[in-house]
Amino acid sequence: MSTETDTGTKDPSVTGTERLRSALGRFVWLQENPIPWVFPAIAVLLAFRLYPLVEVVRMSFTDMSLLSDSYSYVGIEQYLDVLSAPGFWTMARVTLIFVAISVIGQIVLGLILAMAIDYGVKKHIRGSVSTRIAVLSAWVIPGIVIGIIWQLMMIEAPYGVLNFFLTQLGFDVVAWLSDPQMALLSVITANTWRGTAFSMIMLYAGLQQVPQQLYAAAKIDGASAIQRFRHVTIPQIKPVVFINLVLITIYTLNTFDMIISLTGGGPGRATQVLALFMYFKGFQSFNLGEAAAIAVLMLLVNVVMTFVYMRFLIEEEGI
Amino acid sequence: MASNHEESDPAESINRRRLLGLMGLGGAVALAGCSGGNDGSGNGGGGSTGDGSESGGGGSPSGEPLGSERIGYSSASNTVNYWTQEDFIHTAENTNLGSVHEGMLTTWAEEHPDWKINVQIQTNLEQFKTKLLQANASNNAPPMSEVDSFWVPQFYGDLASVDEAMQEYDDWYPFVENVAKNEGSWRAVWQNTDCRALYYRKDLLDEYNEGNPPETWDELVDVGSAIADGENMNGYMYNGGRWEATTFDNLAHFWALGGTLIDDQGAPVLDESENRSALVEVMKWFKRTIDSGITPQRVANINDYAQLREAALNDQTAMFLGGNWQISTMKSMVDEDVWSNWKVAPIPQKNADIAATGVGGWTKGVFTDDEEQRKVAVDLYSLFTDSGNMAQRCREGGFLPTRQSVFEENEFFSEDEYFQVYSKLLENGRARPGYPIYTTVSSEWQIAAGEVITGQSDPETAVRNMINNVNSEYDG
Repeated sequence: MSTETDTGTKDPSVTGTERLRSALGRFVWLQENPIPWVFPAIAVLLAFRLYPLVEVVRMSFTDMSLLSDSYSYVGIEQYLDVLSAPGFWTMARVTLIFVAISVIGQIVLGLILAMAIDYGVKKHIRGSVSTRIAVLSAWVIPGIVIGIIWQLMMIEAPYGVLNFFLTQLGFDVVAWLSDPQMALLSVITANTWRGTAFSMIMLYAGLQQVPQQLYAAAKIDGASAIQRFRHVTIPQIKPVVFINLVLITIYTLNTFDMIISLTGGGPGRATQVLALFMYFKGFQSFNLGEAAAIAVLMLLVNVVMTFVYMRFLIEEEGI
Repeated sequence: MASNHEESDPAESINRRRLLGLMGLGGAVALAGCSGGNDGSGNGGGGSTGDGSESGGGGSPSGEPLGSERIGYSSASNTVNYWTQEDFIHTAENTNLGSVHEGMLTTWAEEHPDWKINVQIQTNLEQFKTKLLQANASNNAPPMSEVDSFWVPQFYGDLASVDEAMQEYDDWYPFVENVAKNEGSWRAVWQNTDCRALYYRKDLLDEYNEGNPPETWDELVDVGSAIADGENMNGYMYNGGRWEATTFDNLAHFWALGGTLIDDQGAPVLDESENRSALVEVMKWFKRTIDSGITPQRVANINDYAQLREAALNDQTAMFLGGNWQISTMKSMVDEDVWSNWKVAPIPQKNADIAATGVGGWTKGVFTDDEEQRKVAVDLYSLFTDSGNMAQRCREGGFLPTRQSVFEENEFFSEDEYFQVYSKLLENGRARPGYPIYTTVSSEWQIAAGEVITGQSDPETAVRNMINNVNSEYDG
């Protein structure tokens, strides 16, 4: 047995025990130093998260375009162009309505479903697992496909799925997607359907963390079901609700895939959200600088919303 | 050293391993050399071709003339890259079309034993455009590429001449020359096209209009209203959703009225009075179709030709504005007595004496200064302009020929009533203006149309907003 020396040859004077001790020493050093362990994660985050983020911010201060290989820095010009773009504030309003109602819908329906499943599991009611799977299937379907599915359901002819049932019941055909207000409602409905599953899973996990003794104590104190929900369940799952709100707000604000296949942003600009505006700027007008500026503005909205949620859900309660 | 023993000599085994290793290393080096051709430079040099065969270095060709992603013999010493679509090569999903291409491409391979074309199939057409724009902007476009007909003007400065393939003939439709020719030189080979037409139910037009399809907007409204009232169905439908066809299909009305979207310098000219008034007329036409009851408001969400076809085949509409390919789709879906009841006619216009239709389709271009590469590319492209090949390709692929003689001399086209109508339509064919601002014009057209159809705006306001938005985008 021998060990390699500096010159690459084995040193016969080093014993096996010493080598073992040396190897153990390196192992202990590895164990005590977090850097080697977290380095891969840091490298991945830097390469695939931070670098693109910095690059988008940099691009937003340029006039970069897919039609040219050169660009120059133009300061905040792209931001000013975005804010003064025709229809920007209409799109901002549509986005606000879309995000607000979708988020509320997903949280409320997700909580109802989570509580129903939680109740079902506790009472050993059959079908809880299949219900979870059925709801989750909506979440795993790609947005483009969801848009197509809902478009097929909402075809405004008697042979459209929803209109077929309505006409069978004696109602008129409903203009699900060609009436501006109804189109926005339809898009919100489809997005809520898609996102409810995620909220359900998050909130169901939160419900599992609530100590059952609290419910027992509340019952002994004479609290009704609504009072138990308000004073036990809600305070206990607030951290989960916070995380859920932050995530679904980000997801919803960034949604454009489902909308592009469902309405394309129309009729007119009735369902054109900012994420879709960004897509059009980047891949129809090839204006990467302006698309990046929209992305940065949306990032700022997400950050602000996160702070707002923190203010109302976390700091206020001192959690 | 040969041995019949089951256990080989260790020394021999090591030698063999070393030998294999050296071969592998040599192969890798050769592959690396070949991969230099992927940047579009063309000459791949000798050595391995990447499919396991050795190069012949200009000797007699070996192997098959076509590979799954190769046109030409694998032994050829020169390589040129080609961005194309499956529909335009021998591996087309439509096997009949693939067979036609196989014959053509084999001919080219046999005539060019020293050249092979490395085929890179593009599947997502929207991404294809972006990719080609990016590659061209960085001077890295492939030497050979398909180019959507309406992008051609955008690449005038970068496309090499393809005169040899085009100037041999003088029977191109006018729109081909308008787009593919620049400063006296052909810049693209327009191999096939498509067009928009009025589709109508013959039985209903026989009953309500003595078998005559409407030629004007007034006639369309009259007969459409009569059918809507008498048959409890829509009289007329068209693309009105947020997608390109809403602009492209209906641009026929705008062009027929003398409108121009963009000038030769690529600047939008919608605010010139003639163009503005043509645009207002078209938006008023949209409003009229809705107000008269011949068209349902739901066209504001039609963003797929299939929806028009479904409406037609489900007795939901008596007429629609569709593409020439739709009749062949109908043929494949329903019985003859159903599809043959659908006929085509020129698109009704404001007046009977004006006409236009939008034409599309793909062209082939050369993006290289290398004369040798340009010549081999043009030799290949020439096979696509040959009338016999064009007729066969269009017949099997459901495309429209771009040469008038094919419609006149080939029986398949000359004896088909649909193709004869398309041929007439192509005489007034117009391609979309291939300038960057067009995407904004189209997007704003779709928005304006949607707002007018759904009553969110009146035609004048919609046009005013559209022009302001387009000019604002153009001016930056």
